Amino acid sequence: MNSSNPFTEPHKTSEALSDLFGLMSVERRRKVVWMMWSKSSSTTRELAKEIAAQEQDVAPDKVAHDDYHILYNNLSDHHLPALHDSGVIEYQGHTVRPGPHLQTCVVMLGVTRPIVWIFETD
Amino acid sequence: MNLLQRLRGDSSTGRPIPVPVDDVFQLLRNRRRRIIICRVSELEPEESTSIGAIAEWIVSIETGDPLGQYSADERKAVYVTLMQTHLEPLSDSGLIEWDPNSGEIRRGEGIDVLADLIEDVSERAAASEAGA
Repeated sequence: MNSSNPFTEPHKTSEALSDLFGLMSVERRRKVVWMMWSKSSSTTRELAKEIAAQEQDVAPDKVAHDDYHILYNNLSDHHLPALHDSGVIEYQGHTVRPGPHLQTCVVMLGVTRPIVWIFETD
Repeated sequence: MNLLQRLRGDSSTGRPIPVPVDDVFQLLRNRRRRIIICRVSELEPEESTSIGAIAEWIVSIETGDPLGQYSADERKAVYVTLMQTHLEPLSDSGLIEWDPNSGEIRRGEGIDVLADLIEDVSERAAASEAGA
């Protein structure tokens, strides 16, 4: 590829990027990324509680049990394995930790809301 | 201007780009659309390009052959996917201006923010993979 070409994605990176952008088009996965960005470790239970609370706009201890249960299953059956497979998180047992691509996803999400202060602390 | 400066500048109006968030990521999940965004963001404000020129650009990147040793059929195949799949959503989002009658393509609103984002996350993803 010549040097005037502004598009520099190597093929392997390109597949990873397509994958990550696709993942980030789902609101619950974006919420997981934001939450994991500020934590070194979390659990399926904790994420389910916080996301249910955000979605219903109530305090985490006020989330209805059924709603929590549905969200817990949705995270553990779908969203967390997908984020794990793409390297956004590391999901083992019920423990969730940041993965190698978490920071890349945080930068992607930054384009949709003002997060200037993130970069200023770099 | 880097990504930080753009975000700072544009976020003063509330939203860095005028596209719903789910749609942004659906647009960016396709490599050809990322190529189009990066190419069109290089245009001057009043400059236009053609679908044919963009098709050629995409083929040269995908084949890794900047000298144009690819076939007319390869170029035509990309041209068709641009017409059928990629230009309309990019145009609907306002990121590019596309006149289906003349075929001319121009810069739209917010395109530089996304071109910078693509460049930035591409470097980060490559670095993460190298370190993984």
